[in-house]
Amino acid sequence: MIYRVMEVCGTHTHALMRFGLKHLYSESLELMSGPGCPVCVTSQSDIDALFSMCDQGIRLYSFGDLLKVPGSKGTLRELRAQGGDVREIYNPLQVLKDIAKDPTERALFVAIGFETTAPLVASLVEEILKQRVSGLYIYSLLKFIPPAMEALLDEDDCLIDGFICPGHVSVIIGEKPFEQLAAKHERPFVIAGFEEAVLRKALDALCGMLKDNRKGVENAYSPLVRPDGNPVALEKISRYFDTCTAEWRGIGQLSGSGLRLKERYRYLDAESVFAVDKPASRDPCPCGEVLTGKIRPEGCSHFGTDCVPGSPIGPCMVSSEGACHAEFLYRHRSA
Amino acid sequence: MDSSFVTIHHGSGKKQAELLGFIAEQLGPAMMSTENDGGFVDEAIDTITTDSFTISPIFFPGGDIGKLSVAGSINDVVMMGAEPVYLTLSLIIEEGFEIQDLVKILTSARAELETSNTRVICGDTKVVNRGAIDRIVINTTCLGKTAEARYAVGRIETGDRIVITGPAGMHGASVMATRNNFEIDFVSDCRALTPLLNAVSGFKVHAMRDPTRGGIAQILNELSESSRKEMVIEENLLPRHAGVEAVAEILGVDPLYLACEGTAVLFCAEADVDALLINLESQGYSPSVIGRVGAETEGPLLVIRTRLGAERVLPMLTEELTPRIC
Repeated sequence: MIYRVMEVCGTHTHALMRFGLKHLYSESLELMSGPGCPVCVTSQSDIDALFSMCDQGIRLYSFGDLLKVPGSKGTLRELRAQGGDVREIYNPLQVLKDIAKDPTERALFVAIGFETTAPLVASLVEEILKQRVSGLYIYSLLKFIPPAMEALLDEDDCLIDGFICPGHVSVIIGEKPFEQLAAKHERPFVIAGFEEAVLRKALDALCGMLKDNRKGVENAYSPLVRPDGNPVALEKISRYFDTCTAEWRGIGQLSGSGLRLKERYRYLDAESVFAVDKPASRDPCPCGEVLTGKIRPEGCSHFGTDCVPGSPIGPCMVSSEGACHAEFLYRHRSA
Repeated sequence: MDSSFVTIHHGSGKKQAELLGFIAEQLGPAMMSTENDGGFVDEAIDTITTDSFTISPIFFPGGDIGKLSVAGSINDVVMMGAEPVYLTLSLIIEEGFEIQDLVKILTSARAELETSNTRVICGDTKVVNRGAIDRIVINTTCLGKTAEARYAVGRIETGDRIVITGPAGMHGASVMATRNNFEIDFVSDCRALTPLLNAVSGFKVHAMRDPTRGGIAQILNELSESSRKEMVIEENLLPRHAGVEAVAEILGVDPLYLACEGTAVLFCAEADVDALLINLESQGYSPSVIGRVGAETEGPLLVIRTRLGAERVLPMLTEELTPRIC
């Protein structure tokens, strides 16, 4: 019996292939990559919205990976090449230093990421308030993972037998959100780290749970992941953000899956402050089906032909955390 | 110099002469005569390479753009089996560039030239408007003469051992760490590899290459493509550096794709490899055999055998490395 197991973390996707574990466990587990890469789940509509703001002369700051995602008019990197003020940063707090060095009237930080990135963005908001920085806004693409896992489990034709829970995200949110999912959807969940031995331990634990038909959550990434996660980080997120409905590429609108600045900080929220032209997404590729485990990357007609890492069509090929990018990068010799 | 930074007026006339004189003064004996517009080269010169350098930040742990632009072109000549003799040096400077930074860059360029016994034969300096370039761009061309044998891709044979002279990715990791304000306890490997010519002399070394942009994975793919032979490396034989691995892990990049600027990959006949390693070690390198050249192949094929025994393909780099988000 081969069980279908989904990992929802781009770094797991990479590690599983880099160590050759996907191949090594192929007789007991069929490993699928879920919506665990923040770039991959970003909608075309959001990229188009960023284009429209940049066209208004607003400076954009974001993480490098996002600049490679194609919207309907191209990528932000192409926009930059044509003169758009688009800047790449690694740590959100770098934005403040750059603005101090090269001031501008209006700039926004494109906050993209999951539970792991949200506390850093909250720190940026805290600093904006503390230092009374004017003209810097937040465009939040922040998302929470468990609602997306739940959306997949809610589908009638869900074929997922178990989940490998994202390690870094779990450090922040802890075991509890997965326990709720496990109880409701009666499946095994294992929280995993990233080292070769730690990942093997998690895969073995999941195999054992599936064979014995056990549900629940096993934590193969303790003591880094605690039952309650990281309360300091969680408190920081909830101090500045409320949950909201967010659009996930390939999945659609999910209530409670996004983060938006609280009402009293809305004056820092780019979407509230600027006129944003946000056309509906019309994705040209089946990334959504890849993200939800319905097709494998190589099952996509674009994979490896007109969609490759240098010129991706869909975001799964853009990010180094994407399922297609990893599949392209980590081919097994016999393939 | 009168001013503390370069201005657009240093691009012509009296000010230009002043800047050129200042540069020549910094380079000292590492610069040949400035009397003529060019230089006459020795007739033994048979090897030439050129490269342009732009890097942010221009100062990084273990070096700067001056050292890098000298070592970079020298290394390309050395990898072909030639001893570097002359270097041309062209500086394109953004106005506003601080003279004290220029002094630092030229001082380290001079030191690197002196250790390789190489001299600047001619050069050029231009000043461009603020914003036209990112601070400074340097072009160097290195001219050399073959020491013992010409090393070339065409000489790589099936069965050759692949040797690396030190851990991979130290330059790339140190630059990425500096860009992101990480504190690190290692420096870039940036240095001229001129002494390597002596260290490999007398051994059956067929080719050498310094894995700069794209790192080991990229150059082994390129060599696989041009030699039409597959390359197989073993994960457990790769020399690891904890600092490089930590930076790579945090940023989500593979050290095998990070640049080296003073480390070489050598292709050596199996019979000679043990003796070569001993000799390299005695000369201060930390060499390891990391794999071998395999059978003929149509397209480029670089395979890594993982510690668990899986064999996966390491493809060519298709785009710039960017840090992962989470």
